[in-house]
Amino acid sequence: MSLLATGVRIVGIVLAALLSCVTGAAAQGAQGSCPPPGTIYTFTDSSSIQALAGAAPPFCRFANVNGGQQVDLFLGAFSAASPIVQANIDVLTTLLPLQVGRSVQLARTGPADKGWQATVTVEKYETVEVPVGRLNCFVLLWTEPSGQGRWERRWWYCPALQYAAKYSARFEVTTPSGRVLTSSPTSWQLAGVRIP
Amino acid sequence: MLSGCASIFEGTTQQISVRTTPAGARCTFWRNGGLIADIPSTPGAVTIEKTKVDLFIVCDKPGYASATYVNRSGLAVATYANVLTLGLAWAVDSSRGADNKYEGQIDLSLSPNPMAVPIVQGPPPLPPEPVAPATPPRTRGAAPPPPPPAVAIPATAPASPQIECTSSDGSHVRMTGTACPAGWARAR
Repeated sequence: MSLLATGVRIVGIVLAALLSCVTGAAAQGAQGSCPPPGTIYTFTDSSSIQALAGAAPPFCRFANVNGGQQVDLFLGAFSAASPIVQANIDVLTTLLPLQVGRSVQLARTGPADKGWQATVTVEKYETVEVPVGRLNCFVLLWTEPSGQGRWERRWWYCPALQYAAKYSARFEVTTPSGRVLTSSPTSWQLAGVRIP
Repeated sequence: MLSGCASIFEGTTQQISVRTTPAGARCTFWRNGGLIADIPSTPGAVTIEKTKVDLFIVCDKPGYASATYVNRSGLAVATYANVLTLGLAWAVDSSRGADNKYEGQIDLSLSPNPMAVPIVQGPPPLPPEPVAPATPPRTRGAAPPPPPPAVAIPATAPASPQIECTSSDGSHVRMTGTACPAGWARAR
């Protein structure tokens, strides 16, 4: 009897833990979930941003510590000022709660050669090592055709941080000779967190 | 930062000026995989044909990481913008109604990095083609003139202790402050 009770208790604990995981994954997508105002994130490219209050959900507001520019970001990545984000914010929010494999297509109409398409995919969930420590993050992959090539941008969005701990951009283009050139021009990692 | 109103548009050609910090960098202009122009030493300018094809500008200076800038035709924005300029540049450009033209004034900062190594994938024996750096250029997109900050941001923050914080999902981060934020606990 005692063994049975212990077994039931263990199963209960396991279920509770699983439920906790699910709840945690969903909770990160809750609207209004932003870093505490005053939090300052510093990155390896020497830039710093400060969390501000006042953004309309689902965006969070930040200011560039060096220049003062403000930007409202969704999932620490997608700017409210971007026309393609503006035009597709309802689509983007269907990514919530974040779940690996979810994907959305973004489009912005324009003249024939000025149309704009992009795809955002929750590529994976992984532990990432950055200068400030170790974080469990969703990898948000933005792919966008551009000219003869395409962009891949990745943000490692960490629910516990309510921001991205890492970013990388990669551009791939095939030259007329068939050669594939790949460049990774921009990347940064979280290098500092200052709590207000 | 990029100056969005400095372009000189004449017919089918356009002048593009490049400044770098520090000056004295060699900048090459690539389109469709081919070299179309270069500036032997910045600051300088070139006149190129306007097309709908993205323009790669690669600036090199000994002792510094290469800085690569993609000048997107029509959109005329820096696609190598970091998160704080992503979208802002697009918004600015969209309001200008740009079409088949490039950003006319480009400012690039070169990061000291004597070990910078380009990343190139593909068959190696072919002649040199545009190569981008492995390290991030200091490019910032065509952001609008910065509005006054909504909050006073201290130039230098007072020294605070560093603490180790853990979150319920297992994340572990070193933070500066006196207490871990909500959702985090002090690591033992």
